[in-house]
Amino acid sequence: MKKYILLLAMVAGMLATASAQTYVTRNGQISFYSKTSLEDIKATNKQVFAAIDLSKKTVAFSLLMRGFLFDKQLMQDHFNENYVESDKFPKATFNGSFTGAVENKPGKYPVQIEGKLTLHGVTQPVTIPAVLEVQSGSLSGTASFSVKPADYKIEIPSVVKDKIAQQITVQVSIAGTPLK
Amino acid sequence: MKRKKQLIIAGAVLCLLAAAWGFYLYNKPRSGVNALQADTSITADSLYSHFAGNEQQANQLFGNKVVEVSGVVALVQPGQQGASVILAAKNDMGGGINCSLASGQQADNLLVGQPVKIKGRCTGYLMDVNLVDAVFVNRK
Repeated sequence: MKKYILLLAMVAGMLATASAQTYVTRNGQISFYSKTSLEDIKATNKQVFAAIDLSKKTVAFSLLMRGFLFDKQLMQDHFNENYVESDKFPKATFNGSFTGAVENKPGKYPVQIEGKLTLHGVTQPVTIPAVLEVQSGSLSGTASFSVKPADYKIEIPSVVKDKIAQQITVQVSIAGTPLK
Repeated sequence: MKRKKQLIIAGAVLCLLAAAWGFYLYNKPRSGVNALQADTSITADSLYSHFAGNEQQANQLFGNKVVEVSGVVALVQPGQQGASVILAAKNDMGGGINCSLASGQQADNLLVGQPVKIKGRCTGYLMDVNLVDAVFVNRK
C-alpha cells in the first residue's frame, strides 16, 4: 500500500512538473524579410500560437498566413492570392524538438531545433538555431532561419523575380507563459 | 504635321498618367479597417462558435472580411508593436477573439470584464478567432 501511495505521489509530481514546464503564447511574432538591390520586403505576423515543452523538449508553432501584414497593400494582396494562396492553404505549422540543455532556472540557453515546417501544403525538414531564455514565470525564445520559396512550391512570377530574394529570412520571437 | 505632334504629346501624357497611377497603386499603404464599413456585426460568442463548429464554413463567411465584434475583455497583452486584446467567448478550450490592434489604438486603460466593440479583419482560427488591424468602435 505504501509503495502504491509513493508511486501515485511520484506520478502526480511528474505531471505537475510537466505542466509547469509547458509554455504557451497566442501572440508570438514571426517576421520575414526579403532583401534585394531593387526592393526590401518585410511582413510581420503577431498572432503566432506557440507551445514549448521544456520537459519533453518539444516545440510547436501554428499561424494563419493572412496574419502576415505588409506595409504595402498590393504586396499583401499578391502574397495571399498569388504566392502562398492563403484561401487554399490558410495555415503554416511547425512541429519539432530541440537539443541542448535548458535548465529550469533563469538564464539564456542556446538550442538546436529540428522539425518539420508545413507551408503552402508542402512539408519540409528544417533545422533552426534558437535561444531560449528562462525567466521567472515565463519563457521567451528567439530564432532566425532561411526559407526558400521554391522548396515549398511557391512560384514567383518572372516579372517580379528580381525583386524577391531566393532565400527569405524568417525571424521568430515568442514570450510564453506557463500552461495552466 | 501639327496633328501628329499633338498625338505624340497626348500619348506621352497618357503613358505618364498610367505610370503615375501604377506607382501610386504599388506604393499604396495597407488599408486598415477604420474607413471601412463592417461586413458583419456579431457577438464574440457567436463568432467563436461558428469557427469551432465548422471552420471551413466560417472561413467562407468571415475570412478576410471586416467584422465588428461585441464582447467583454478577457485579456490585454501589451506588445512592442501594438497590443492585443482577447475577447472572452464561451468554450472549454480557453479560446476567444484575438484582436491585434492597429497602430495608434490604445489598450492601456482597458479592464478585464469591460464590454467593448472592436472592428477588424478576420484572418481565421487557431486557438482563437484572429482579427488584425483592429480598432475600437465602442468602449464603455
